[in-house]
Amino acid sequence: MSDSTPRCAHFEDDLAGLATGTLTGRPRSEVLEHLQSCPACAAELDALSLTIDALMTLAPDVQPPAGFADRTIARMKEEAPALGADSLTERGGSRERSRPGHLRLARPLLVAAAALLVGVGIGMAASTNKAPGASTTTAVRVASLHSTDGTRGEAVLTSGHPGLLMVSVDYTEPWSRVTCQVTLSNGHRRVVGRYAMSSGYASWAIRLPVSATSVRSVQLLDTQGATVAWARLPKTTTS
Amino acid sequence: MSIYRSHSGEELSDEALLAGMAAGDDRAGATFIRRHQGRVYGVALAITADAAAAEDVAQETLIRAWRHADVFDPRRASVSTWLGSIARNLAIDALRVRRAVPVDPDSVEWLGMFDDRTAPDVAAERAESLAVVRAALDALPVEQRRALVRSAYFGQTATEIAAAEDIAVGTAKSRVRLGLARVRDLLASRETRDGVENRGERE
Repeated sequence: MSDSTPRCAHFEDDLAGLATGTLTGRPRSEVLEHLQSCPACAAELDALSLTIDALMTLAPDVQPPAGFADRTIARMKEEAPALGADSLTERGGSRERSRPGHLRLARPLLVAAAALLVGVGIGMAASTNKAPGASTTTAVRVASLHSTDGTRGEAVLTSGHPGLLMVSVDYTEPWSRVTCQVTLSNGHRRVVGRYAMSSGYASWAIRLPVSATSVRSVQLLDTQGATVAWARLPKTTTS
Repeated sequence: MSIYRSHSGEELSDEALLAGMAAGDDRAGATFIRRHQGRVYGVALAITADAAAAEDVAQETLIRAWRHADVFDPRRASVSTWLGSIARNLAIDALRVRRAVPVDPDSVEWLGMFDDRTAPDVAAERAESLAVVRAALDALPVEQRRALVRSAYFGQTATEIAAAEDIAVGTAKSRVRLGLARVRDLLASRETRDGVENRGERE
């Protein structure tokens, strides 16, 4: 802690308490406030927290009782919004949904998700007719996202229930918000999400409120409604 | 689960499975859970020493991971470490509700149980890193180790440690701090030195 101040010494013990999660009440709020303005202590806290993580590796792996994974997934489903019910809201002029099941992913996760879905797509194609119980309609479509001055990112779309659209975009313009819209095979357009843009790179994943196979293209619109980037998806290869 | 191998036949990464699970893919979720359930349940069981509480904590850990996949930062820690950290916090919360420390945290005996149960089935690499962490903990003066174990594994507050060890609260706090800082330094020196000869027993 080379930039530590005399004040930091006062928080030494409490920093350890914060790392172990055992500090409460007033001392806790005081040290949290100090951290706001002290990068040295914030770095120290980070190092101590990682040390706690390392200590936890001493706990042995123990397999939980049978059926654990199924019970956990069942609990997830109870807590998830009923996304499947959205798949037929493909109506002209329909109102924008407040939360169409989108989620933001950090860049590494987005890339990983795309790799996963592409991998699955290929796996499915290779094992058509062979996977009992597996959906045979999973298809992955990938298209570059363009703007007037070149390629800006990628759109990855997978069918399934619900279908998933992942978009990643690099940009230099001062975009504050973009609207993500899909154009369907019947010509209808559908807003699927609005995103704040701040760091020069953005990515997100959206559970589609419409049938994935009906999506022909993806557009990003600026706050005035002008198209600033677009991706034209290849036609589905599986039927 | 051959479908969860990439086309080159490798197993999919934790990050890929986490992303798939977060996106609502059941099979990615099931694969992810099966891959990590031993770690998550193990941490929960070590802290709570109660099978039912541990299962609840383990489930909640995975549900949090699923819900908060967007805050996972692979540059900071592995998925396994991240899950262990969530499980630890939830298990300590569960303990707090019950207000009981299930295992006598006299650290030496308590940690002894880890050796036999972990050693046979872990990969060599993990066994080695375990040995390093274990050695760092062993290198602490006993009173620091006891305080740190109470705090890190059982989430006891300074006041609780002071009462249990019959010492002043300020002493309990500084023992935890000194122990934790020492372990951190020992782990850091192991990393940079890559030394096998450093037995971590100097005092």
